[in-house]
Amino acid sequence: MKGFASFVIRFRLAIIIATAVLTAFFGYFIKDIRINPDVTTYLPAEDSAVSRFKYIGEQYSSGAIAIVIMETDEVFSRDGIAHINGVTTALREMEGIAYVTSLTNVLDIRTGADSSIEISRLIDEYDLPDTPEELKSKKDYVLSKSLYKGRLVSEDGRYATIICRINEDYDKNEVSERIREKVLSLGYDDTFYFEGMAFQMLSIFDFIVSDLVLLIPLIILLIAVTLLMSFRSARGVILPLLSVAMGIIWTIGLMAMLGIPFTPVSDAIPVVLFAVGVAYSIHVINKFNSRVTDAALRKEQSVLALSEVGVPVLLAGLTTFVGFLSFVFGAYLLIIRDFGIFSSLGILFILLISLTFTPAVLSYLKPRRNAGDSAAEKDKTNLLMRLMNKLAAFATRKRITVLILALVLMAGSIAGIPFLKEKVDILNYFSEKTDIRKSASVMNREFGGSVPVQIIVRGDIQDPEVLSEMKKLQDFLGRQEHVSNVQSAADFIEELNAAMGEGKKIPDSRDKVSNLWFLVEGDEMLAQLVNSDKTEAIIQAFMVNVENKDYYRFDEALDEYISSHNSDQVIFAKSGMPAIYSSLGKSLFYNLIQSVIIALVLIFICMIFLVKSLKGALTGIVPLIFSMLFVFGFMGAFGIALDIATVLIASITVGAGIDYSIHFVTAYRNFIKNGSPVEEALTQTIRTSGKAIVINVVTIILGFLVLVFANLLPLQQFGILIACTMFVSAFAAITLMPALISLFKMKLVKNKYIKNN
Amino acid sequence: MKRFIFISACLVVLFCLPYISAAQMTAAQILTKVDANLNSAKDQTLMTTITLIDKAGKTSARTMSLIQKGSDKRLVKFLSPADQKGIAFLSLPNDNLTVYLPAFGKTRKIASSVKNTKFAGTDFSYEDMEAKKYSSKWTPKLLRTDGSNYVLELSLKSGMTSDYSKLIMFARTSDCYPVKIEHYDKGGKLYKTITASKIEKVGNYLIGKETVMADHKTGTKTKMSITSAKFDQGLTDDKFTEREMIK
Repeated sequence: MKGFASFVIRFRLAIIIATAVLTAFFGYFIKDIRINPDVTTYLPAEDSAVSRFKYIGEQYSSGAIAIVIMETDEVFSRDGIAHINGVTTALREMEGIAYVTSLTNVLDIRTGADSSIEISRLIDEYDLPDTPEELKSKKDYVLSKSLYKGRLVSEDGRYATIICRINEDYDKNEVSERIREKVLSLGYDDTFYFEGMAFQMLSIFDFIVSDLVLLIPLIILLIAVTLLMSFRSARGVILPLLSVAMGIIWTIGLMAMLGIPFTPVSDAIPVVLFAVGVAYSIHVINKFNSRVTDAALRKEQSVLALSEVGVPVLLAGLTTFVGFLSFVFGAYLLIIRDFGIFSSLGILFILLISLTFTPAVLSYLKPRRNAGDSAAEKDKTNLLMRLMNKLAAFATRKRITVLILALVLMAGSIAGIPFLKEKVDILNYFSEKTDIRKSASVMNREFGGSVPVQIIVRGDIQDPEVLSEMKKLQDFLGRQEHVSNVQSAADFIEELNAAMGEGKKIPDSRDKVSNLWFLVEGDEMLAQLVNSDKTEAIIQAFMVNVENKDYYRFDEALDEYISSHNSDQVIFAKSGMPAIYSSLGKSLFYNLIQSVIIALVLIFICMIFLVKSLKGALTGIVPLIFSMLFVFGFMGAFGIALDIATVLIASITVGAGIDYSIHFVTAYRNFIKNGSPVEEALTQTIRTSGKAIVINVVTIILGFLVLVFANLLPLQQFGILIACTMFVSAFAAITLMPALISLFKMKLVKNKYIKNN
Repeated sequence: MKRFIFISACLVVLFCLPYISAAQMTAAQILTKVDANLNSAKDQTLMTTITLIDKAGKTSARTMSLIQKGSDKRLVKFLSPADQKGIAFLSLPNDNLTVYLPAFGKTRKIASSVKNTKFAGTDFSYEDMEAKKYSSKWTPKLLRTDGSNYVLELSLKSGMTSDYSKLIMFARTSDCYPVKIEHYDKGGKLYKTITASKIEKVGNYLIGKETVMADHKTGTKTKMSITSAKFDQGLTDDKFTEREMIK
């Protein structure tokens, strides 16, 4: 470390220039950073439900459904129909929209007078019904058909949907935005709601942007105020902020260069790095303040200061790095893996800058006069110091009480863990107050939801037996709770067969089917349901937003049905969000356990190298295990769910929380080495190192609490929870750990190294 | 008498032709001539191959025979592929459309109120298949003479309905045969383009033996190739009955 320190001070100018150049380089690329709100891309393509979902999206333009819901007094009124037609026509002409389906352009098949077939639009856009009689008879007809009721118009006739499918080749956000603008610009006095995955993604996009714009300045301000209060100097504020900011610029610049976008998880990276990374420069500045006192010996003293502070800072940084790195291995969600890669890289960058750039700049600055003295002066009267003294007394003398309290809390936490639930529905990203939640509740109430369920059917789609199997599966879907609007091409074949006077059923020969097909060939509606070779079809249905367990139950029932009905003639394969949610839900627990184990093992190894004692390493990770059990118990007890963001908490806690153990154990061992008895060494450690831990944890907690202002709910809860866990882990490090050490009289140092006084 | 009128008419046309093409023809005159080119045969018998070309360029073909008398009696029969063989459409005056489905052995009347529905899976809508004269539905404006073509802008006459807001028609200056028509949607965007090629004279009439309709929204194309054409065969009305469909 000494060699490194002299290197840094020797080449300080070069280091400052190189850092500035690198920052400019990476900063230049930040302009290219993208935001990706497309939830389906977060999922791994290896998952069959996910790859099918993407396939169906591409082949049948079903990936991005944007639903416009119109609320009016009476849909079947002159204005109501005219407005639906107005919206439909406007959207049909819009670039990037593949299909539009609404009351005024849906294909309608019926038997007319003298048993003629009428294949026409349900409502002729050139001859809209306008007399009360026409409107009444249209309403009666539409509400009598399940193809329209609850799909294009609500049962009470007050809500109507205009369903758009966005062309796969277009930017879904941009098109969704244009849809919203266009509909609102028509100037109709009805209420419009915007629903479906396309609009949910648009909201996620907007929220990511507003979260970044709000949270980054907020955390900078907050940390600046905290730094100002503790250092009361310009360098104490500017240097830590600058070093973290540069590290973040490098990270985001690199993300932009590699085409890694911001997502609802990675948009937390700047805040997380600020909260966790600012400590490294603080340590360095603290050490310089106390060691560099003589302007004449500035360079030599700087080398000394850096070589002293280098190891603990490096260790603190590396363990945090390991914590973030634990997300990289085996993460189901690609966005969690990306978060792991770039947050851990960010930590490395900040660590590097804090150990090179920060000391390089500091070595140019004049020593602060009497800095050490005044700090010592303050300590005596300091409220914090008095608190630490009390804490030291409590932890060592009332160690049994501390341990019992800890055990009780741990038992309570363990009891809460079985109640830990996961949340997978995208809708849970948004708070109840948001428009997207309001739209979803209208959709759920009036139209049976918009969570897509899709089944791919492979076989000869003109074969009556295949069509019958499709109908059976549709009937099965229709019987499931929370599922509605089941539809496939088989429905049209039945309607046409009825119009030919042979009853509403699948015809008895393949020739009949292909004759019927000919009549509706090329219609938009069918292009969304069958491929042009008629070797593949889609059965689609919608589900309301429900609890996870209902998605899982449905998914399992569907699996069972499919496996018992697949044959040589027809093969069904499921997709859609319930299937994806099921994989995601299972993966969350798996991810959690895996990342926690990886983080604990890696950090345990680090600890063994550090304290060179198994007992010491075990003692060091006790506060971490304790805080982890606490947080999951807490989540279970208070109903905070495991989701794409809260799943990250455990490993981040391990990575950041281990710093407290390291600081504590290192300081304690120094006191023991210098010959202090156990109790004395503990008290001294709590008074010095404990104080530093408290200051550090307060800064981190304040940093993470900034996330409370996030628009996306997972980020909000992530902020609150991580603040809680960091508090518990720090508190455990300065109470539970000393109580344990005291109880077992652990010296954590071999006797031969202890000075004999 | 009839013969006299016909000969006089021919003479008038012959005399006027040099002046008309040399001097400026009005937009209305051009469009009238376009309509004459497309609708002057008393009857026609065509064998046609329809090729559907999807976005990826994959093709599927079907063949049909078409007989037409005047502009409002037409019988279309599909000859291939096998599972569509025998399907027939009969259209008679007053939007009277009947379909025959051989697998059912039944005919059914079809309400043809749907102009923007695709005809038999092609990129032609029922409106595109109408035998109506352009001049009865559209008001022409001569935009320019573009090399060897007149360029006309057709806007919808009041009281008429269409899926298109306007058409831009390219008709040859030599004979006013339309070689390309661009169809614009109600938002004013290019929606479909029809192009005619292999324009030949069969008997007394000009005919584009290959017609391609491209739908710019879906990226699909439909090619109609006429493999044989006969005109003025003296088709009688009894060729346009349900009995003939079933044959």
